Amino acid sequence: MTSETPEPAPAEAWAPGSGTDTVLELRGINKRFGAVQALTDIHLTVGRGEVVGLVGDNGAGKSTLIKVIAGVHGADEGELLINGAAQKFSSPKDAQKAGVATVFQDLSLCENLDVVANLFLGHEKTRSGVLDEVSMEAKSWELLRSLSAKIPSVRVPIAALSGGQRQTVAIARSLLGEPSLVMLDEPTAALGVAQTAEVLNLIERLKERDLGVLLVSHNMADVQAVCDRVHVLRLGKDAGDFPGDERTDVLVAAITGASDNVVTKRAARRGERR
Amino acid sequence: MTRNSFITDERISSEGIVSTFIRRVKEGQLGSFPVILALVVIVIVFQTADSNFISPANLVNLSTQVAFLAILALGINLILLLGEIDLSLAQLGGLAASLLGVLVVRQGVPPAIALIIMLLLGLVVGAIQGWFFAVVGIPAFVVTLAGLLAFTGLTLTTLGTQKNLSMSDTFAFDFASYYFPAVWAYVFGAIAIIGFGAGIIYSKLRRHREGLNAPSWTSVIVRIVLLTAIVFGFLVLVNQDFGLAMPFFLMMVIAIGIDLVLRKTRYGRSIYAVGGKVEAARRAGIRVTWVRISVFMAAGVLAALFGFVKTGVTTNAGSTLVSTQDLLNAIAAAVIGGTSLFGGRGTAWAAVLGALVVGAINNGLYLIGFNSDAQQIITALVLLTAVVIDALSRRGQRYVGRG
Repeated sequence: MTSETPEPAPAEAWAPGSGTDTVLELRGINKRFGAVQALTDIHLTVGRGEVVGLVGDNGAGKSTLIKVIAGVHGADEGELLINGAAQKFSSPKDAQKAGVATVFQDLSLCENLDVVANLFLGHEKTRSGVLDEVSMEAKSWELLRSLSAKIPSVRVPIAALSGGQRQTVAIARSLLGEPSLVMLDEPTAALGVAQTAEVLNLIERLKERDLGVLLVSHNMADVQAVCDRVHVLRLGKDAGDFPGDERTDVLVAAITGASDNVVTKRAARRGERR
Repeated sequence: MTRNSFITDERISSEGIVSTFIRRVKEGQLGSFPVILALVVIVIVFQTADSNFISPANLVNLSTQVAFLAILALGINLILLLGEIDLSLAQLGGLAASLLGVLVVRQGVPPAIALIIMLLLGLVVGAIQGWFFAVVGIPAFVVTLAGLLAFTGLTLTTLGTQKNLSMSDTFAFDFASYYFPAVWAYVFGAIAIIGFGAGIIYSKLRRHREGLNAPSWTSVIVRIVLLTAIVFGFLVLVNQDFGLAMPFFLMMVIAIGIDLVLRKTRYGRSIYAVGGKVEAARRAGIRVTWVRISVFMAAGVLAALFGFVKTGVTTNAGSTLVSTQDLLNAIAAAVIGGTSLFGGRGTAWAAVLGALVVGAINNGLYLIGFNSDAQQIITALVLLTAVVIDALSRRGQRYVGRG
């Protein structure tokens, strides 16, 4: 684990192909489903140790974009670069190998299995063919401790954990593959206030670990709380790139297209200048 | 509050037996506790009603009766862990037994070859049913309901015009009525206990070395002593009569084998994952289709073994060998033992303990002079209780989960 000081949104990250400080770079992504143009000419970058919020109304193309990056769908046109290298994903496995970890909204956890079993599901450690529970449990504690996660015991079934704890386990699991980019799809949906705060803390911890984070959320307060930049999608197109502490009304205007003519274009201009 | 206090807590405090138990009750992780309690109650009730219940002769009898029921229940138990159901297994066992009988008695096929053919039948039929379920996507309930009807008919076809077939002079009977010499029985018991004891002591020491929460020596010793008392108590009693019966021994070997696969291998873990949440298992890279088909294959082989043991014990390979009663008893056994009907929760021992409960109830009621109507009603009540406990413990989990 590198312990370099995290630089939120370094200016170099904006220059295309500027080397390893850019974890993810999308250039002109297009995606069409039959008659529906789901994504049109999407440009997006996520730097190392940077949290980028991806917001937009329902049907804006957030989920499609996430799925393209996660390798679920292939893009029709455009380039996808991970750590500066162009990638063509034909399956989610390819994306995982390239260092993209995705935590989907519906949580891919087995409620009947305990935390350790879920963390290592499909990648269990064995000693001469026998499950090595001891080293898996030790590694689980190490991982959860490094995230300062609040899990009472790693030997309880997921069914006995709260929503925030489940989200923590899901995020922790995505880290076992040593990714460089973590995508979180609505991680705070359906969580209470305290649990949301827990997950936001966790996102900051990911940032400290120098990972790039792409956060999809409907909740403006959460986005403003942790994101270095906010990228707005509207009707499958880029609708502006804003600093993380941008005012809510400006973001909402960009999301709804209420000020299509002024703010968005200004923000886009600002983006190009950088 | 220090940042890691909760973790240090978890890692240092070694839980006592009582606090572990209370925590598990709260979390709905009752495990085998209710069924063991039920078994104790049943034994006490019948022993007071009829002092012959724990007599050596009756225990030998009971162990043989429980053996084939438990083998069938072990097969159904695997399917239940997937969250599915197999209605055809008892009839499949009957078909396999009739095939064996026809091959050995009427065609003069060597026993070993006939036995292999019979087990292959179970394997292939399991694979076909599993394929219809996992690949074609037909609900297992429907596939195996068709199987139930088909195998009943096929059994009659296999038997031809003569529907009765006696196995009384065959190797199947010799196998089922073989009793180990007393010394061997004790050796097997000792091996089981040493294996169990070495396993938990090794695991405790390794966990301790890694700084993980390890069970206390008291709980380790209590568990070993309890197991020793049960195993040797049983063996001493049956050795006063015929001794350790081969069917019971076979059943225990199968149960230990399945238990180890379920708990200690990646394959076993993948069965639980598929039973818990298919989509999560698929995303984790588990080959869901293969897991499903292979479990149906294993259940098919266990069904054939059930047929083999039951035909040996009853010396009957005719059309009356099995009935749906066998199937229902086996499903009841697995559920009474604590395997969830909703998939993903249960152990191999659930099938064995549940079969013991069902077998003990039938045997005990028979001893004190009840007819089979009463046996069925009481088994039904026990089954209902078991399902209620299952549902309540799931609710318990959700309750804890709200914290």
